[in-house]
Amino acid sequence: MKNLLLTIIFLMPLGCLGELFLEITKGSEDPYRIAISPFDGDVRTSNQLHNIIRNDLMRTGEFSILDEELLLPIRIKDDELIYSDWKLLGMDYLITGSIIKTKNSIDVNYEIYDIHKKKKVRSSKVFGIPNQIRQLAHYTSDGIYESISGIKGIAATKLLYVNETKNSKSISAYKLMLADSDGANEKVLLTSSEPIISPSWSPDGKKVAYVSFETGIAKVFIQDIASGKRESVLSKSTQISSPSWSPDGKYLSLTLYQDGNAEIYIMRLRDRTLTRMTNQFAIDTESSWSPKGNKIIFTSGRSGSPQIYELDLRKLNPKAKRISFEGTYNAKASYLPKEEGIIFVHRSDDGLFHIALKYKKENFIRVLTEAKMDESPSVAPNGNMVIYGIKEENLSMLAGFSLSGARFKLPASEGEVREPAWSNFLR
Amino acid sequence: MDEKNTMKKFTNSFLTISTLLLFSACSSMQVTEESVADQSVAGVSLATKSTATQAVLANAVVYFEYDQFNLTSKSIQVLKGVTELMRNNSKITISLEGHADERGTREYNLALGQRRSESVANYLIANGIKRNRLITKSYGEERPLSLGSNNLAWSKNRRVEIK
Amino acid sequence: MNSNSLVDWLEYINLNRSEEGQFGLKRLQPIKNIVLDSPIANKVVVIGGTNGKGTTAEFLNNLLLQSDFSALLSQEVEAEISKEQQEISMYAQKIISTVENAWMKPRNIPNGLVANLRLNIRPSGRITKVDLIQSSGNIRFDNSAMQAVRRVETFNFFNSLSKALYDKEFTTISISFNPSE
Repeated sequence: MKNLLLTIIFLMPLGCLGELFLEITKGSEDPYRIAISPFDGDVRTSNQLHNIIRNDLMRTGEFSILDEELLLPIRIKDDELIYSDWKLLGMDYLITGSIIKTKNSIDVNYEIYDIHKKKKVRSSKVFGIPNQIRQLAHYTSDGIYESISGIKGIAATKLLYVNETKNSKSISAYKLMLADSDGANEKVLLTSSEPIISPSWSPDGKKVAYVSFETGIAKVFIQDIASGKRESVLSKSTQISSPSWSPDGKYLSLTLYQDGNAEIYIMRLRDRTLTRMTNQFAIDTESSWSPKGNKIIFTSGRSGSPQIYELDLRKLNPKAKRISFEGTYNAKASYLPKEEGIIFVHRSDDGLFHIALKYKKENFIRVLTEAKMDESPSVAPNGNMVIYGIKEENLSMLAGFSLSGARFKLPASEGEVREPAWSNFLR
Repeated sequence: MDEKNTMKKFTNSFLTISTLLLFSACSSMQVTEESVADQSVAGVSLATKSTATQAVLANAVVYFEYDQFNLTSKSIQVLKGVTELMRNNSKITISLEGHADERGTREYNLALGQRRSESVANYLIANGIKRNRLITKSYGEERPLSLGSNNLAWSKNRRVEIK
Repeated sequence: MNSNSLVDWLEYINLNRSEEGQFGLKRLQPIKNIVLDSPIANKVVVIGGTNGKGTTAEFLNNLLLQSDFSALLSQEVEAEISKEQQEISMYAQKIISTVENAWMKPRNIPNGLVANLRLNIRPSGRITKVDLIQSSGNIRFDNSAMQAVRRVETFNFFNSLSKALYDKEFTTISISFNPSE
C-alpha cells in the first residue's frame, strides 16, 4: 500500500455566485384563484356577461372564482391598484372591466391584474354588435384564460350535434344542430325525418360533413353553413359513412361499403377521386386525421374485436399499426392536438363503455369517465377538454370534462342530443 | 452523506442552458383589440318522405349475438324458408337490412349491421340465390325495434330484416 | 511568517487580507505558481472552485483509498466543510417543502415529466425572477411549476440565513419539478 500524504487546499473565492439544484416530488391540487369584479356599465348586460364568463372559466376546471359577496371594492392609490387587499383574500388574479353600449355597438374593455407580481398584465377590448353579447363574453373568457394559463381558450368555439325528438306517435324527427361551446345559441342546420349521424367540421369552420339516411341508405353530405348549400360526396349508390376532414381541408376520409365490408378510403375533394386505404376482410371505419395530416387512426375489427390502428400516409404502401392493446373494445379514436396521445371509447371488463385517454409514451390507458354507455368523444382544439355523449335515465345528452378534472353536462332543450363534434379555433 | 441526496450539482452543460430565457417573468403588459366574428347560419329542411320499404316477409328476421355477425342455427332455419321463397319466385329482389343494438360506437355499429346483412346474403348465395337479387344495407343502431337499455331490448335490435 | 503548518498559513492569509474577496479563480494563480515551484508540487492537489470542492475531495479520497493509497483529509477543514454543508442542506430542505406545499400538480398529465426553473432571490428571501429553463413539454405542467413559485413569493426563513451563505449558495437557485408516481 502506497503511502502518500495528500494535503488538500480548499480555496473559496468569496462572493461567488453559486447555484443550488433542488427536486420537488410531490404537490397538492388546486386551481388559479381569481376575482372578477362586476364590469362597469349597463347592469343587465354586465350581469349577463359576468355569468357567461364565470361558466366558461369554471368549465375549464382551472379556476376557483371568488364569490361575489366576498368581492372588495377596487382601491386605487397613486394610479396603482392596492394589491395587498387581494393578496389577503388569497387571490392570484383580479379581473376588472367596463361595458360601453350604444344603439349599434357594444365595447367590452377588461384588465387583468397579477396580484403576486403586483402589476397589470393585460388590457383588452372586444367589440361587436348588441346581439353578439354572448360572443363578447366568450372572447373575454378566452382572453382571461389565455393570459393566466398560456393556453388558448375554447369559449369562442362551436359545437355540432344531432338532436332527435319524437312526436306523439313516436315518429322521430332529426336535426343537425350548431351551437356555442356552452350549448347556447342553437341553430338548426338540417331537419330530416331520417337519421343523421357523424357530423364533422371542416377545419375552417365553414362547412360540415355528415351522414344522412334521407335516400334510404347511409350517404355522406357536405353542407355550407352560411348558405345551406349541400351535396352528396359520391353519386354512386354505394353506402358511405364516417366522414373526417383532413387538417388542410383538401381531403375527406370516408368509410365505403362497396367492397362487401367497411373499408377506409380517402377522397380528394377537388376532383372527388378516391384512394383505398384498407383492404382486409374485417370492419375498418371511424377514421380520424393527425394534426399534421400525415397519419390517420381508425377502428378495425381485424384482430377479432374493435381496436385502434394507425396508418402513416407518407409511406408508399402504408401498413396499419395497432396502437390499442388493453381490453376487447376500443373505438372512435381521435388525436390530441399536439399528438401526445389519443382519446377514444373503451369498453372495460365489466362491459361498460367509457371515454379513455392514452398517452403515446405510456403503455397503459386512463379511463376518464364513469357512466355506463359513454360514446362519441370529441376533443376541443386546445386539447384540454372533451365533449361526449351519455345516457341518463334513458335520455341521451352531452357531457364534458376538462383534463384538469372539471365536469359539465349539456342536456337537450327538447328530445335527445348526441354525436357532438367540437370545432377548430374560430378566432 | 445525507446532504448529497438533497443537493444536485451542476455540470458545464447546465451553465450553457442557463443563458437561454424561455419564459421571462418580467413580460410587458399585453394589450389587444378584437372584433367579434360574425357567423350566418342557413338551415335546410328536407321534405318528409318515408323510406321504409314494403312489409317484412313473414317472420323473416334473423337475430344475432352481441358483437357477432355469424348466423345461429335458429337463423339458418329462418333462412331456409327464405331460400325456398326466393327459388319459387325467381323474379323477386329482396332487401337485407342489418341492425345493431345501441352499445358501442355508432359507426362501428353501422358496419356491424352491414356485416350481419352480408352474412345473410352469403348464406343465400351459397344456396343458389343470385347476388343481384339481394340488396344489403345497414341502419346500425339508428332504427331500434325495441327501445330500452336492457338485455331484452338489445337482443331484439341485433337483427337483419328481410323485406 | 515562517511556519510550515497549513493552518498557520490560512490564519495568516485571513488576518492580512486587506481587500474584498474577488470573483473568479484568477486569484488562485499566484498561489498556484508558488505551490508549483515548491518541492511538494507533485504531491499537492489544489481543489479550488465555487461548488463541489467537498464532493471532489471526497471522491478523490475514495478513489485513492481504492487504489491502495492511504490519504488523510485535514480534519479541521473537513469539519468546517461538513458544518457548512449541513446548513446549506437545511435551507435547501426548507425551500423544497415551501415550494412543495404551494405546488398544484395538474391531473391527467403523462408520467415522467420534468420542468426546471431558475429563481433569483433577494437576501430577504423574496423571489424577484422566475425563468423556465427547461420545459416539460406539457404547458399545464410548466404552468403549475411557475405558479407554485409565484405563490410562494418570499422564503421568509431567509431572515436567519447568514449573508455569507446566502451570497455563496442562495442568490440564484434552480428547482427541478419531477413528480414521482
